[in-house]
Amino acid sequence: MNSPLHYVFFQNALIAGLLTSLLAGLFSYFIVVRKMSFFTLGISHSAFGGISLGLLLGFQPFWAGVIFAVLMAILLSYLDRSGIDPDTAVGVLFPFAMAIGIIAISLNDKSTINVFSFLFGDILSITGADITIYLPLFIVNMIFFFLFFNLLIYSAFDRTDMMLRGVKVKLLELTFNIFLAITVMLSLKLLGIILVSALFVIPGAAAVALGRNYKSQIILSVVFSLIAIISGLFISFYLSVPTGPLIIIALVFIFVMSLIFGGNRLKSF
Amino acid sequence: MKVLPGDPLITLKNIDFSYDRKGPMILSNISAIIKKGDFIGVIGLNGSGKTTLLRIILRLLNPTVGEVIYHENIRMAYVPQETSLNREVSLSVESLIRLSLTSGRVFSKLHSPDDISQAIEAVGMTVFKDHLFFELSGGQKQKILIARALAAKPHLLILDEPNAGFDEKARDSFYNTLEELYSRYGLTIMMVTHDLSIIPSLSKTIFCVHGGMDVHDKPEEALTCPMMQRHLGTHLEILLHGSSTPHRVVRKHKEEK
Repeated sequence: MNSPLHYVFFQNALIAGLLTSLLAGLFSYFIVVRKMSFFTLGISHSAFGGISLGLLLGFQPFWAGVIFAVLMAILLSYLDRSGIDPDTAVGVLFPFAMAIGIIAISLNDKSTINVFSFLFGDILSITGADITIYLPLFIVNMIFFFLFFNLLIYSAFDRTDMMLRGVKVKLLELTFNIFLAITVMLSLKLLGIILVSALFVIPGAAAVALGRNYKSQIILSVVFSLIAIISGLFISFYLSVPTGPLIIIALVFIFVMSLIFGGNRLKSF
Repeated sequence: MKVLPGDPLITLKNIDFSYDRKGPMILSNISAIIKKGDFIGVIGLNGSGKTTLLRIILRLLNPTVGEVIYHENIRMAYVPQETSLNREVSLSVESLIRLSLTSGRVFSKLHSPDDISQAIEAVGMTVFKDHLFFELSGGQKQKILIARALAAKPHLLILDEPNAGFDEKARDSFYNTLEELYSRYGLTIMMVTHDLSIIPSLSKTIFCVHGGMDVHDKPEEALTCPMMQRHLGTHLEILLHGSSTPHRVVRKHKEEK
């Protein structure tokens, strides 16, 4: 059997996987320490509403999903500001978005298959045109992290002190949520709406269990994300099984290993 | 213009506060002056509005009625209870203070890297510089939070029940550090505490919060003020003369007398 690297579809998948895993690893650390797992689940599922509406109304489903996910992130941030518990807000908006999506599918008898590709994802179907969308969004995300990294760490540790120092913490959090929504949408083609939240939760959870300080935890989170996506891609090629579930199995394996070798951090789980 | 000890830093003018327009007033008709060099003890029962008052002074809440006048462009630093911090973020002592300084849009221009070392040294925690913050004891963590506040070179240091849950030894050590910093740096300090035994020896002024607020310039008066007696009753006697050994600061002051 030829090396998978000879195939263009695999090269595209690898590039998309590398870009996404770097971002997902970074976001994952913050999602775990800020306890935003359910928020991420809500964003990914709410994208379903946008994608289905996009297909029904003849828009690009990817961009319709991005717009829907970003609007959801803004709305959730606003509700959080209004004093509504974030989990409750997600619990209300996530089924609402799903309901819109289901109605849109039922009204659309042409594009059901397209919706299913977003539901379950298929990294091997990523094209060169997709990469041209991924790359600028990846660069913008990395610039955001480069500029605001210290602020994100410190606001996760002590939000009140950050406010006292004149930083607009709510604006920072809103911006983070918007970039997260965009990155979740980028990752849907890899893992699908149903599985994608694992990519944004498990690397960070494993890294926090294993790493000693925030720097090592963030590096581990990115490394775990990279290992899971690359190993999932290669194993799926050789075994001819779907890539998404293999990535999840690799992530869960890493998580279990981190708990076993994570020493005293195990107690906090 | 240089602010001299005794000059007003902040004036609270007829402040009312409610979290909800239709809800009950948490604070009503609060007026007081915070002067440079003062050490203010803020006392009151749970739910009396002490922390709300601090949050108004810190500009984290806006008063419903009345105004807070800041006489200078003062820097305020806040020492919270350590339970309000996110335990999941694993920071070393050094990186905690460094991040606090570099994150601050306002403060970051004012500081050099030496400020971090000096602040840690000021609270006697140099040997713990590379330790993880959440691996320290309660008393050590609180000293590091004071170091973080000092590194920002504040005019006003505000502490919210900094010694909650401390054993006697940790409490003594904490108060001695605080008193030493107060004398050495000429800070203005405002501290919420339930530890009434410390009030006479440390504080110059007492804010007794009970929805409204009484201001006492003689700390001993505050402990026997009608409001405290009405609310605490015999419990006040226990707090003042009760079973716990007065800590070293109190002993030191009595010896001086």
